[in-house]
Amino acid sequence: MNIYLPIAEMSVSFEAVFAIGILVGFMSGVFGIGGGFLSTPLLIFLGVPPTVAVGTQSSQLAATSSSGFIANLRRGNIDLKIGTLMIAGSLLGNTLGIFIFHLLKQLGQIDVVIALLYVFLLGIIGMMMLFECFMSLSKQKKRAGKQKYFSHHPFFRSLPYKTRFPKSKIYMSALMPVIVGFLGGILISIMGIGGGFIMVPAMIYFLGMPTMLVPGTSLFQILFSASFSCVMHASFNHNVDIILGIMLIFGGVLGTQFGVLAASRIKGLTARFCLAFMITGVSFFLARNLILPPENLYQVVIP
Amino acid sequence: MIFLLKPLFFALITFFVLNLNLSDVGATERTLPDFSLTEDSIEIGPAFDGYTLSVFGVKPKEMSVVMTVKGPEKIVKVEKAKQIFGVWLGKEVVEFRRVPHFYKFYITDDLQQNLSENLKKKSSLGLKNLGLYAENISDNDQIFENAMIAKLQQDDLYALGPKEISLINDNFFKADIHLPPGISTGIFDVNIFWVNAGEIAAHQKKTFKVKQVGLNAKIYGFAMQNGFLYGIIAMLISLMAGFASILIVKKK
Repeated sequence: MNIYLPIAEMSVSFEAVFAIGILVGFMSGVFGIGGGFLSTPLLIFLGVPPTVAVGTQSSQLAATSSSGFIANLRRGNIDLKIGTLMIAGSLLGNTLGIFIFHLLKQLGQIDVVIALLYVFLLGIIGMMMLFECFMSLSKQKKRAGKQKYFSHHPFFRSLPYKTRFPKSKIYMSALMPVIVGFLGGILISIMGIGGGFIMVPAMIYFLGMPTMLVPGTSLFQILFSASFSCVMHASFNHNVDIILGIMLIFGGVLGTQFGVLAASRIKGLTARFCLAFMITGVSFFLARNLILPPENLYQVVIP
Repeated sequence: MIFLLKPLFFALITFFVLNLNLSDVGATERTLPDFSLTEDSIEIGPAFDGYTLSVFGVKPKEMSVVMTVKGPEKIVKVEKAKQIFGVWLGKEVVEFRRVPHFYKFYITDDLQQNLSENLKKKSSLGLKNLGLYAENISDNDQIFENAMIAKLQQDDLYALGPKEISLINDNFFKADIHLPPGISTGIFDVNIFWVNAGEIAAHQKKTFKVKQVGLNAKIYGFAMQNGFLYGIIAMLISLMAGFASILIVKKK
């Protein structure tokens, strides 16, 4: 069944968009990531103009993250205190990121920076996660719970505003979540994605949060940044297609519920393994695209 | 409304054709070149999945017919991937201006073999005579143009070759214009040339409009005029959909 999109001004297959929604929702439920790094290219592949794909993406992220947020809230899997501090940091980061984005755009280097950021960030994060997963697999029985985190580094320990985060059972500086949110916020603005795949590992390895609480807390933060960017895109770029958004949301909310159910049955380590594999895989795929000559040397862009 | 008009038009044409057949003698003198479109406005709603409209026309017996249909003009960019330090990161961009987003051309069967270049040029028939041009011209411009045309052909927006104008009888012809789902909104020009002995004897132009109607048109208008409010509403719909899904799952 084809549906005509009023803003994209084209018709798309409902089933295909629905399937993308389910996939992204599922990932959001299991891993607490928005899945923007997958769905934006898939929508463009369907023929949706890139600007509309990016803009509409934010409305879908708002829906899936709100659904996932509540599902996690009911299970008590969210550290609201850390999440709120991260949101504060990410709003600051967003603003700086938008400034950097415009600077790079004027220099004409934005595409290069985005492509390299994707490959390096995904690559490094994916490999680090894989390495950690293997390490904890081999050490699991001997030294459970004695992992080293960046937050234990003397520099981070010396930061002021020490606070207790009872939910996560962490005692650290309140500046730490703000810093994570801030750095994530910069990347979100530059790369135009929800940033879950950066925030989730950062929360696990940098803050040392329990894996159980990470997806929910990440979704809590994505909920805010996605809603913010949805309104921004609609106001300044007129690129939010609500019909496309609703179709994605239909699939997305369904997928999220499956994902949350699946997440409760998957062990933390297994989930981390899957995410690490996926992130590394996408990074390799993108790196391959940079090295091998493209299949279509010529791309036609009709704005 | 449109759906009612089409059969009515058919009936009228059939009546006309039959009448003319009865008094075929001297038809040539009385048949003045003319044509009509079955629709002058195509409405796009949420379920739009392409549309076919028809052209009906009259011609003197000895004449052939050439028709072009052009859609709204757009700026099209063609990007060629380039290697920088061994990595495919760069691109060369060629920008074409005033490119018709839709272009198809039609001829009567007798012109298949003897269509002169001169006639093609005069009636801007065929992809070579579209007059496409790029702002920043490089040596390989033709390759960029070809890449653009190939993409538009792939989306059924451009014709691969001439389509047929079918003859109902010696004096009447008909052609179907298929608009694919990816059509863009705007004014479309239908140009018909009546050709006698290789020369253009008459020319007529008519237009039809493709526009969004109903909910689609309202959404488009609201989003363009009131972006901020539209964004807030889009956000609220999204959040509510997320919350609603939880309630549904909870009940089950």
